[in-house]
Amino acid sequence: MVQFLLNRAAKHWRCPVLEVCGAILLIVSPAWAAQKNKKADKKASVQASVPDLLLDGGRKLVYERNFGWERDVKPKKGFWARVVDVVAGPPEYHTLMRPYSVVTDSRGRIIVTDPDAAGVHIFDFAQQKYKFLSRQEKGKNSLFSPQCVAVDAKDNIYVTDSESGKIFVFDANGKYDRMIGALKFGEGIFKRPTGIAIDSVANRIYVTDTLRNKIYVMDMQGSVVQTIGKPGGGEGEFNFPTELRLDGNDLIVVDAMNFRVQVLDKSGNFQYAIGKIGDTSGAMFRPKGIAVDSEGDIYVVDGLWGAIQVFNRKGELLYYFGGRGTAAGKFQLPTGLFIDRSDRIFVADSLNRRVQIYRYWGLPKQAAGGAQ
Amino acid sequence: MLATAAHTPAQVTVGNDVSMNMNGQISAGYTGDYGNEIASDHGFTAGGNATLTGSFYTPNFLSFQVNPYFNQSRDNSTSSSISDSSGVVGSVSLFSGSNYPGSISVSRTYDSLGTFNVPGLPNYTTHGDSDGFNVGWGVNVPDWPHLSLNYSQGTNDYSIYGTDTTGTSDYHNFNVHALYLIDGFNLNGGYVYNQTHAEYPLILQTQQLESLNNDGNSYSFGASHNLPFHGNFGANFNRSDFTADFSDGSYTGTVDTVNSNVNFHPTAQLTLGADFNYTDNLLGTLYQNIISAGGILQQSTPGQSSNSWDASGLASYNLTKHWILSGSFEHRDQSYFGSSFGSNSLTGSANYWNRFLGGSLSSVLSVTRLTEDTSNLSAVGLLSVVSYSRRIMLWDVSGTGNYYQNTQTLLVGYTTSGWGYSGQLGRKFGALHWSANAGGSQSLLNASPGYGYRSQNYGTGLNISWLGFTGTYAKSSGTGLLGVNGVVTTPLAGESPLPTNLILYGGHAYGGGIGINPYKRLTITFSYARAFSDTVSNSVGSQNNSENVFGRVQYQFRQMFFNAGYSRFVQGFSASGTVPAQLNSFYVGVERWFNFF
Repeated sequence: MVQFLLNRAAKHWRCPVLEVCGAILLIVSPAWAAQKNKKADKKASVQASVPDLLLDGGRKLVYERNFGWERDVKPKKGFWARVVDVVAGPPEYHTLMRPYSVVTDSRGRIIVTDPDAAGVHIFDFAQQKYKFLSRQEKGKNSLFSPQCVAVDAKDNIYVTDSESGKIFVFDANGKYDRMIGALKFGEGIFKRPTGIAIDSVANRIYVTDTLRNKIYVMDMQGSVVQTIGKPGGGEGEFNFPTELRLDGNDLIVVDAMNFRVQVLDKSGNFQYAIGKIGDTSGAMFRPKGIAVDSEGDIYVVDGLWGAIQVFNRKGELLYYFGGRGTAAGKFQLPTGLFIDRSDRIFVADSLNRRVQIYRYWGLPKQAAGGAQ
Repeated sequence: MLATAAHTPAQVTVGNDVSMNMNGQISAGYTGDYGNEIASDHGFTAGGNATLTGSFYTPNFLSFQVNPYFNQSRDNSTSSSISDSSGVVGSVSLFSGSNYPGSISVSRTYDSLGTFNVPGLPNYTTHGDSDGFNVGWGVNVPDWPHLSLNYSQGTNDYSIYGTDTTGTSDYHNFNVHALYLIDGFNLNGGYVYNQTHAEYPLILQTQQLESLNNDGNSYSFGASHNLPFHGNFGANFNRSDFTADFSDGSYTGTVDTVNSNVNFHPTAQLTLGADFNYTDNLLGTLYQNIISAGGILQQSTPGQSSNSWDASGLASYNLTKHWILSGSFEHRDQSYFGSSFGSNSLTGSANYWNRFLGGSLSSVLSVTRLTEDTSNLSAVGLLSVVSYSRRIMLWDVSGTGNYYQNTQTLLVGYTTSGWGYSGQLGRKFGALHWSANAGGSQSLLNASPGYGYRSQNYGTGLNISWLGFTGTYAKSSGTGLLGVNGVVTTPLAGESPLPTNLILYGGHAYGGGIGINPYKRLTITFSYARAFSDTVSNSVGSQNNSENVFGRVQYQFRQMFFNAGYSRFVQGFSASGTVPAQLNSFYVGVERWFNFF
């Protein structure tokens, strides 16, 4: 049958009216079908209800939402925008491929690193804008595998690249500014930079070099002013340190293969550690991201169990939430974690390709100061 | 067709075990065609293509892919066709996750473009219809012989723009192969049946219709086994019987060949090896080579027995990490027309690689001394190859050159000589990148300097982020054989009594292109190509030329592409007695990509 039709077509069979009508049918019908598919995609991102977690003293943890692509920040489309979508197809939206680390800046923008996309996503829900940062240059000056991200007081964005061994700095508008840690011939001074935190008051950058088991303290120009730690399992020693956070005068470091979190002061002096290896609640098996809420409690992501455990400063487990799964409130290999000044908790849910947001309602609410 | 495509999304639900995806492009617009080989017309047209992939149960059980396309030309799509070609290609894979994997593929095309080759020059353009069918199956049961069976058939009917002649070919092929590993022996066997029929186009010779019917059966089996000192021994036997009927005669023959080899690596640096080869029909082997290259036998020499055998030994030693030295000895014995020809050749060669003046240098030098037993004639052959590349300041420079004088024996000893060179040069000037390349080669039979081929080519390119230029020039000449797909260069086979009909060819071609990307989604391309050639066959000369002009503007908005294009195509052959073909077309329209489901 198809051959017969093709044969007829090949013989230059032409009826202009039918061909025009056919062309319109061809273009419009599949477009509606495509639009139908997009509606299905949209349904998939509708937030499912996750019960609130009620805690002691009237505190509670509330699930807010998740997001995974550029479309999530865009406003609801009007009639004519939908018509254009049907005729010309929807725009090509950026999607989270494997979100790893997350942070927010002073404008409330959510900044997410994505090693698989070799770039950084900026979601601005307030302004309903999105931006994707990347850097593709010949040689070794490209952003290959962005890991962790931090912002300074001017909202400049600092991204560690574990593959090139450098730190890429973008200004608040997303324009590439400079590289930190680059040596001659394009090599980086770090073996595998991962965690990063900025002390904008002291003008210091803290970077963990996971393979060297050290934390580098640099000035804002990238000159190393101090190194903290050495390989080992003792106090102030590290075995593959990854993420770190600054909280007041505390420097909190995930000491991944010692299965603990070490709390140092900014000069690198050991204060205390929490956590132990194990597969029970309160123990750590694959500690990943770390954050501190307005009450000073420490949140630690465990990638293997897909859960976030909350400890007080004595190392006692207060509660945990999450669990492995794909539903809202569940995680598949969660990695990065960030808590903003409003106690909104952002979790990079890497294999579910999304960021999930909770809000912690503590007593009293909104204590001064937050992470970063 | 239109209705079928438009309602395709509603037809995808076939049970719960079928999963399918389909995407494609649909175009519609206003087009005009005019020229002397087509009916001039203009009006609205629609075209498109689609890719349907899917599986039943799991992809390891059954998977399929279908690619229909309709009215595809380079004006309204990314197709390079100047005709509005249509067709469908489909394939099915069965049981790919089992021990009995199979596949079936089918294709049918209408008004698709093809090429008629002239060595070293842009090919001439043909158009026509073709179809193909292939089915293959395998049996891979553990501990049992692995079997693979394949059957294929197809036809191709075409005409060459600028002539009133047509060519046609069809083929049927069946083959079965078996592999079996037992007690360290790797055994293999196979059977191949091949049947081809071809009628050659008459653009280069006006006397008569040339045709070829070829039938052949081939049986083979062999064995190999590992030996001590990292060694390996292998032997193969092959019997081919074939019949070739061509315009001026026919040839029927059987060729038996035996090949064996043994090699050892007693140390990491040292390699030793030996080969033995025998054929009981040397002439049949030569005829097979010509026929498989697409050539025509003008007359045959049946009833003559011929055979040959040769034995050789090789030793190679890695002297240092920069030097490899090797030597070989070969004795060849051939019998033809009741006469025997014997020859001995001794070869020594050296390979050298090292850093040199900041760059990379590699070279090969090989010397062969050939002595004929019967005539006591001797000749010396030489092969030298030198390559060098380095970066000089901001310039990327690389080049290679070779020269050879090759002594061989095929019924008689003969010498071929040739040279070749190639070079590339490139540099960045800020955002601008410039590159140039040149190459050339020549291969001649020393006893008949007109017998061989030579070619030169030059090119340059200039690129910045939004703009690119290219320019090319090529020149070529030599002797060749007429094949169903064009002219193929002749094998340099000495003063052999090969009954072939030679074609003398020569020509030059030039072209250029420009690509502009002024805005992110706006692309403008333009290209121009011109080719001239002269061919002489059976004292009939032909002056041939072609011209190709193509311009296109494309703007992308999401999944829509707004296209405007113009193309002009001219092709002519003076010996054909017809005026050169001219085709012109323009197109303004829109193309939309869909992910249907």
